[in-house]
Amino acid sequence: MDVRTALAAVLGIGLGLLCLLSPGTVLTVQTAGRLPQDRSGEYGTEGDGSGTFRRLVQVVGGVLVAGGLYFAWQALAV
Amino acid sequence: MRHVGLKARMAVVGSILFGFYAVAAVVVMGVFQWPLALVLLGSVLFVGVQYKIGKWMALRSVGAEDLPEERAPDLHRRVESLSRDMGIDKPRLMIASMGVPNAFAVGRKGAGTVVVSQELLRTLDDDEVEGVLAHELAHIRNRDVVMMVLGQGIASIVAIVAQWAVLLTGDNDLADFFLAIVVGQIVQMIVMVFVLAISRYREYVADSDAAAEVGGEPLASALEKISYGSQRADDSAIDEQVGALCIFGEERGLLAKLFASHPPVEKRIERLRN
Repeated sequence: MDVRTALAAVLGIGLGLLCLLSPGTVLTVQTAGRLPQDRSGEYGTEGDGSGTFRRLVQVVGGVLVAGGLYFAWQALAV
Repeated sequence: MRHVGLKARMAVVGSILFGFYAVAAVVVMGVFQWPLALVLLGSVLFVGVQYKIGKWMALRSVGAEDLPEERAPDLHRRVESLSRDMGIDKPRLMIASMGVPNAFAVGRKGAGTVVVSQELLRTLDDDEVEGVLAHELAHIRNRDVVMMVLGQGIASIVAIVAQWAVLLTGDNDLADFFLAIVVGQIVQMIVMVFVLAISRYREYVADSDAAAEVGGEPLASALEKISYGSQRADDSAIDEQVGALCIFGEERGLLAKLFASHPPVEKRIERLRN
């Protein structure tokens, strides 16, 4: 089994699940320091991003899970 | 000595971030044969561009407009007085319609901007608005925006270098490209855990500075009014989410806590009142 392909599978599925289940976390990591985190939402809270961006992160998550599953299949097939 | 706790935490987190950055810089110098001066110049340019674009995007995204002095003379007077007391130049004051009560600061000491929402001015009384303004001015005085830009800049640079390290050590097949992207994102997340930890602490420091200027009650009352006002409206929605408050929960899960840029509002209110 190719280690790098297996790593791509495991990490890809892991990151993909994170994007799918907690898109706000991924948005915070990407936007903190680039945009004020208290810019959206109410005062005293951090915005969790617009619905559009959350959906976009989830779409990316879906692609990552699909990619991870493909590489898992590749790693196991070899 | 002001903010000993913050300085100690900054020393620890700064050392960790420097460690990440140093490893990335050494990799770039070794692999691409870049001299140190070029690595440093590239890093400064990268962070500088992020700062400029971020400020422009933040103001543009909420449709912020300048708030002329003749339209809100009392608000301008309060900001001027607070700025003088806090030893900073009066920042640019802007207003936006954000749909919710909110305020935020962008920019740096000497070139700061404070944006308040129309909804915030309608919801809070004068003392509470002053508490909010003092908190935002404290962010500018403490260079919190600049520190966050620096932290994100380092996280991004380390992530890019990690991606290249994966690419250059592989066979350039599809799995390597995929792995490089994923590793870059994961590395950025790991670095951002430290940046966000210090961000949460800096919120407490800004609260404490605001309390030193105008007392803790106005800001505590503002946070309470906004937070509990929305909580009542969201009660039914929250009930539906309680069952999902596990490790991935957006509201109170472990990940949400680890990657939060702000501490919980209840804790801030409690600290302001104690």
